[in-house]
Amino acid sequence: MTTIVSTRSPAGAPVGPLAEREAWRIVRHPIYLAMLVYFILLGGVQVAGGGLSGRETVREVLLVLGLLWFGPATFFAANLVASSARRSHAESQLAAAPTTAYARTLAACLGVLGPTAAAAAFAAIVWVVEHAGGSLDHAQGLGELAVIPLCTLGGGLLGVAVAEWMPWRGAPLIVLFALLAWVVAVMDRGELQWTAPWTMSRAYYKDALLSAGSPGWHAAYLLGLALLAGVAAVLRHPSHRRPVLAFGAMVLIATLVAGWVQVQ
Amino acid sequence: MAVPVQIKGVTKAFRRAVAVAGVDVTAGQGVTGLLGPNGAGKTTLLRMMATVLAPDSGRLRLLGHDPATASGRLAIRRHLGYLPQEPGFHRGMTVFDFIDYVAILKELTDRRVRHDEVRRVVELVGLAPVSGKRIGAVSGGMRRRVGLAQALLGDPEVVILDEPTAGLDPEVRLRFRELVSQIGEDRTVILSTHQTEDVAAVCQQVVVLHQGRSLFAGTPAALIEQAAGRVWLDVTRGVGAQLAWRNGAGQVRNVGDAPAGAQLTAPTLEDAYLLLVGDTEVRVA
Repeated sequence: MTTIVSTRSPAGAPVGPLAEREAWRIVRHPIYLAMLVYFILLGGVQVAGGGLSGRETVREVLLVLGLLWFGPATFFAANLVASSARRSHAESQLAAAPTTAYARTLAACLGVLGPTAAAAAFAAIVWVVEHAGGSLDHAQGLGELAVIPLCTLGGGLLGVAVAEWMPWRGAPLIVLFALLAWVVAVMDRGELQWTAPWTMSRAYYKDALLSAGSPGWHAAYLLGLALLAGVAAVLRHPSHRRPVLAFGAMVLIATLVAGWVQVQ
Repeated sequence: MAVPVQIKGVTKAFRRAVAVAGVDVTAGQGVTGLLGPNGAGKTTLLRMMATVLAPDSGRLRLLGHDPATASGRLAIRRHLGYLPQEPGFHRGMTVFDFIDYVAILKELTDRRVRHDEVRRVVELVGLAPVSGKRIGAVSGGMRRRVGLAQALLGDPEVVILDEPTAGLDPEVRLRFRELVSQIGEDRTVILSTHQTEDVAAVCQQVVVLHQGRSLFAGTPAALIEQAAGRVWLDVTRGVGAQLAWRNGAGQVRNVGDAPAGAQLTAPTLEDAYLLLVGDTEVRVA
């Protein structure tokens, strides 16, 4: 196997336009549609015969989508976009362009902000459904709803990191299963529940599983995890390794602090 | 002004297999053909020129820059167009979108300027009618043109084309030939091929590579000149012939060491190439 020459030169001017392009590629990825159909059906099954009011039904379906669809779908979409050059054997063609592999990875990470913005808008819709015209039972605050865009951000950045570090078929599935195993493993263990990345929705889990402490700090913890995934992705390339590592160390400390504070 | 391509004593090995073993190439404006059988080291040499592969040793300068340094690589890449032997494409993208994507990577960041440039190269290679189609839905010949179009983005000073006509039907090949000739009017084009007709048709310079070494570097006429007196026509295969075949007129064209009194005929570039490389390797190719 031959090694493509990597460059340590600065990210350069195209990162902004490239990130915009990658955002479009991610949000338009057909995997969203495929998974959307599945989760709409899942949401429908969940509310069927539940005796919920109209608004509660809408909220329930939206929560299923917000909590289960955005993050995993973005994970796969970002992974497929970030690995597309490798999968289509276009690497050596693109490597001869002045934009470095580091800049391309950085652009893919920034491109994840596209679906994250969409997820934030979606969370705002959930908030309106829950709060407009009187709050529903178990209505969520901003800290809880922030889980939707933050898991989208984290999912996308993790997808890019997996594309960079695990360039083989099936790797995203293995990582997703590992992630799910982590969530399942800590679900019934109150003292570790806070570590899981999407357990903060009071409306979705009702009161059964909530011992994760402050929603706001949990959101900060999730943001930290997401940024760590982004740091891991760009660390694949030799450019700017020192500042990226320094930033990663700060984020790691902040993430641990947020995780600790949330359960105090 | 520096000679656009200067290569001296460049080597590259993959583990124990030596792909390029001390090659010298100098190329100025116009089309320079790299001719050689499969495995001669053409693609490895071109990948080194395209800055995607680092040589093990030797001196390589493109447009006066050294690709061994990051700043040199960047400077080269800003003036380089590269079509690899097996170009990969994001098949889900349309022709226009893919070229536009590469244009961003080539630092064409202003959307309007970029789109104008994409339209220019799309027109140039004759892809306008299919620019809105997905790459996965167009023919192999069209895909080659997509590869050529992206290589021409930004009007690069050096264009490296690795077997651009491989697998194309004759008509498309001729169109490519015309295009490459046009590009070479005011730029440096390095064209790798094992089609001697392509070299004879469009190259002002030719370098013959064989087993990682350069066997010849000069004009096609000089290469043909080397075969003078070594091609003859007869009714049967000649004793000293390395290769012989019956032509359309029913005569046997012999290439090799002509016997005394043989009916000599004017050699072609193909004859000269065959004599230089040897018939065994040519059969393998």
